[in-house]
Amino acid sequence: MDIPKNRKYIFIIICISFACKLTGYSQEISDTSAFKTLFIPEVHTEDHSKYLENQESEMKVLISFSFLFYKKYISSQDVEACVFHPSCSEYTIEAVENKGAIIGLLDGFDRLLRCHSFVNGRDYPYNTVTKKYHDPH
Amino acid sequence: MAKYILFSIFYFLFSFSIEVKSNDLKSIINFADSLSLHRNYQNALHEYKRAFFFAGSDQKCQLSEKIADCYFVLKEFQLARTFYDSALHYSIHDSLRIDHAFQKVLCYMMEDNFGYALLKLDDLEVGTPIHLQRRKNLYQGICYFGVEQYDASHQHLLNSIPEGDTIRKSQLHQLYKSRKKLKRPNSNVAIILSIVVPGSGQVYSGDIKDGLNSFLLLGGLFYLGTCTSMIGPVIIIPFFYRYYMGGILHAKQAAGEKRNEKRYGYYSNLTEILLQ
Repeated sequence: MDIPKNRKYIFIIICISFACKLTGYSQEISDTSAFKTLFIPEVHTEDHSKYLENQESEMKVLISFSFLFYKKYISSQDVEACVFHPSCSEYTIEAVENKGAIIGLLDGFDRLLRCHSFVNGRDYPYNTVTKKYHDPH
Repeated sequence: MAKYILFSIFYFLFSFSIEVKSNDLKSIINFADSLSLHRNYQNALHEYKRAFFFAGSDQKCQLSEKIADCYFVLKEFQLARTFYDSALHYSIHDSLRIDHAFQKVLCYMMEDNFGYALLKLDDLEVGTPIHLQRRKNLYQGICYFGVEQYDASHQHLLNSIPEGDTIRKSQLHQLYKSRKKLKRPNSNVAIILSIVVPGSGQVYSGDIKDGLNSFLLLGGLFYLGTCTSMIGPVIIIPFFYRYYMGGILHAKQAAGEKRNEKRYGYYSNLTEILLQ
């Protein structure tokens, strides 16, 4: 292989590597893959059946069942009225799980009395994403 | 002789210091690149930002783009947009500038802000190259699809396909024949139906179970309110009002969700044709 031919090859290799570098540089994010992620519908799923599992007493089972019925057939038809997160019914069922049926239900009634539109950010931290006051059990 | 030795020592020291400085910045960028390659975008971002702070204006374009890419992958599109803007500011070549402008528009699209993306696309001048005009048309077509202007979308997407590709053009034309279906179920119709007969709006939107639930619940409350004692309505009316309003809102939401589902299915077919 003579010298001028060598030069030609070297020049071609340099050109190709330069072009590869430019392409790699300008196409870090491919719009093709980004386009495929557009218009994906949001899926809202809430599974409350966990509250019915591993219950110790019949009373707790009854309360959990009532809660599930309320959540599925009554609360699902309601407007977004509860100002807290978790909602009053979820708070009550967690209270029943942790403190027993009677004290848990009393806790739930206490929460219902506190749930009104005059709640302010001094008493409870406000979550700007859910737009609700945070009051866990 | 001593002069030469001193000169060469100083020269080597001086060149070595420059080398060390440039190597340092280079090594930071290389390290960030390797982090980015291993999908450790959060740490890569930190390193790129460090390099960006010390880099000269010749490197800032590349670094801005890399930072923006990291933010894009992390789905922080607003910050990605800011850094694509910065890359646009520092870029020297027109081709890179146009590319950054497109990436910025893509960020608006990922944020579901198709109206603003369209405004930016209208301002974008891509010149005469056909591949850039096609790219612009593709972006505009998808944006018009996003704002539910399907006729304009059809026109732009047709322009984004090369002239000779009649197969894809006919596939697209065939697909757009059923575009009227995308506007159904109409949210306003669902609301009106729910006002007249509770639950019918949900049934119209395809959510039969929710519609029946609403109808039975409100029917039961209506019966309790009218067919019981005098005090019944006073207790029942606030509950009835809440669930009645809830039914109307749910009908609107159900119609929107159904429409979005349909639109996604349609869009998947569209991307199969366009991006094959």
